[in-house]
Amino acid sequence: MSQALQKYLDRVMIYANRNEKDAAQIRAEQEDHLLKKVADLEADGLSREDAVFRTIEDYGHPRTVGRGLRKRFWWFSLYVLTTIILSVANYFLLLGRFYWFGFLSTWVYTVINFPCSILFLWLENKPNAWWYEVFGHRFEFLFNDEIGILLAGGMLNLLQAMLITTLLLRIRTWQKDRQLSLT
Amino acid sequence: MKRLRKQTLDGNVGTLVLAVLESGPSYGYKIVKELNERSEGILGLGEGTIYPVLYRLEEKKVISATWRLAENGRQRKYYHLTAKGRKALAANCRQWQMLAVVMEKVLGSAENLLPQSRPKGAVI
Repeated sequence: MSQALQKYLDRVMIYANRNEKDAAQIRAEQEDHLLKKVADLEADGLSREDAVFRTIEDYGHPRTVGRGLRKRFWWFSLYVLTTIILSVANYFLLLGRFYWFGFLSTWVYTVINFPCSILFLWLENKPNAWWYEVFGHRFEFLFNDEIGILLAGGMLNLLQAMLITTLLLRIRTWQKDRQLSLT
Repeated sequence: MKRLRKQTLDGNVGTLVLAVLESGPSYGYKIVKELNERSEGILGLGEGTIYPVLYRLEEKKVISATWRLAENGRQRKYYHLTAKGRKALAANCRQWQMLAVVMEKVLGSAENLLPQSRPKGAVI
């Protein structure tokens, strides 16, 4: 197989981001497609070089092809994992504030949850009256400052996990682009 | 030659693939080739874009695949319609027939909509 086709497939597979077993099968299928096309074009009278060039051109940009081959909602599992890890970490950090290392706990919590932590720490000091003012007295029977902060904390946790997931995905894309520029 | 826009195609390539597979098992390259031939180039499908469609259809179990030895000695993945796929194709075809009827009733026949067949000054 020509080096150009191999390099092209390397790029496609970097963007496809599949596990080893899936990647091997997908690559074999793509390889078969490209080789068959090159053979057909050569049979039509094109030189080997032109046939390879035309095949790659017709197949599409590696980024487009590779991204299409990604597992759908693959980022969702990363989001769920981030949410779980963050929730457990936050539970212990917030609990830790009641012990002798409380100051350190608060700081670690603030840093890993930034910017949501600022909002959480601000909401945390709000009295019952403030929560009633925000949500109205209609919900007075099921609302107090503790439930309010628990719900707000949960939602901020989900939001923070989303921010961290986005950041991780950006870093991954940057790493892939860097990897490609080196090849 | 004018090609279909991506938005027009979205969600319908699957039905076209099922239609190609109705005539028998086939593999990625041949499916794309046949789709482009049958559509006389209007479809203009990027070859690499067929695989996400095939994998999605495979996930939905409307098609299934087997690896077989090809004439060039390499392993080749052949796709074929499942019973669920045949049902899905029939249902999608009915939907398309209904849509075609609606479009024709509202817009008039397709020939009248083409610019060259429209009389000068006619407004759609």
